[in-house]
Amino acid sequence: MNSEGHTFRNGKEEHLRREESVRSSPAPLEFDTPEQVLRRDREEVAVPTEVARRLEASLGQEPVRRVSWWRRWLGLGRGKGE
Amino acid sequence: MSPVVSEPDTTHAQGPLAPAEVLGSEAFGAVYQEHSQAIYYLALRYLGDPERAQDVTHDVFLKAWRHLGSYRHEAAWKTWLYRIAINHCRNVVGSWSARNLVSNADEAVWEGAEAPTDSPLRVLEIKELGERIRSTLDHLSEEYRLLLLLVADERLSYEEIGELTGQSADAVRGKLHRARKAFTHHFKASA
Repeated sequence: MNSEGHTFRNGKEEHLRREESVRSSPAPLEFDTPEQVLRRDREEVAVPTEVARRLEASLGQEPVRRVSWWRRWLGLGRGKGE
Repeated sequence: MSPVVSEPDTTHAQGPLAPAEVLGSEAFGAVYQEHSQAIYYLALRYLGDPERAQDVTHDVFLKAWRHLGSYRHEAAWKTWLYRIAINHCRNVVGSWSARNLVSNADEAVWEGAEAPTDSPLRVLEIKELGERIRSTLDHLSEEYRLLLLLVADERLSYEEIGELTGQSADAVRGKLHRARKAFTHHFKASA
């Protein structure tokens, strides 16, 4: 294999790699205001399910009526005796 | 006995239910579904600590449950919950700010500063956004941080933000102007 052909092929592969890299790289995100930045960030944030579980447990300790609806709301299924 | 509500009714989350109704129905679940994300996000970015944000979110809804009797029917659920959350966050900050928060950056510097609006706020990838925001908010005073987080909730008016932060809507506008400059400066510097 001559070195010229080898260099050409390497150069072509490099070019293709760069093109692929450009295609697969997401476009930068741009925002006009801080509020837009924060709103976009908020979309990425979910409340950990642990919070709902802890809240359900806490409400179960409260001296109030039915809390079994929490299980349905939080997708935890039915509790004992329901 | 009134029938149990089987489907989420988010209109309840805006305020028409009286406390007694909420205690005895599934409506509190609707309130949680409607507002927990906003409360968690506020706590997360205000405190900069996911674990404490979880604690605050849990505590806010537990307090709301316990104090439904003090809920003013004419107020929207979101402002009532935000008020509880802000008070709770401030208590948390008061107990550990010396160790964990950069507080009270010099706000006066933003009064006459030129607004750096010549170029947009840019992030290369969404995965870097959270860290950039955390770093940026760390540089802002607690007041600026809170105002920006509240105004980012498009459901709140300036009047409501003023009510929540104990100032007039005009004062909110003026401070937000400076808070935006500060945020923009630090956000760009964090790139």
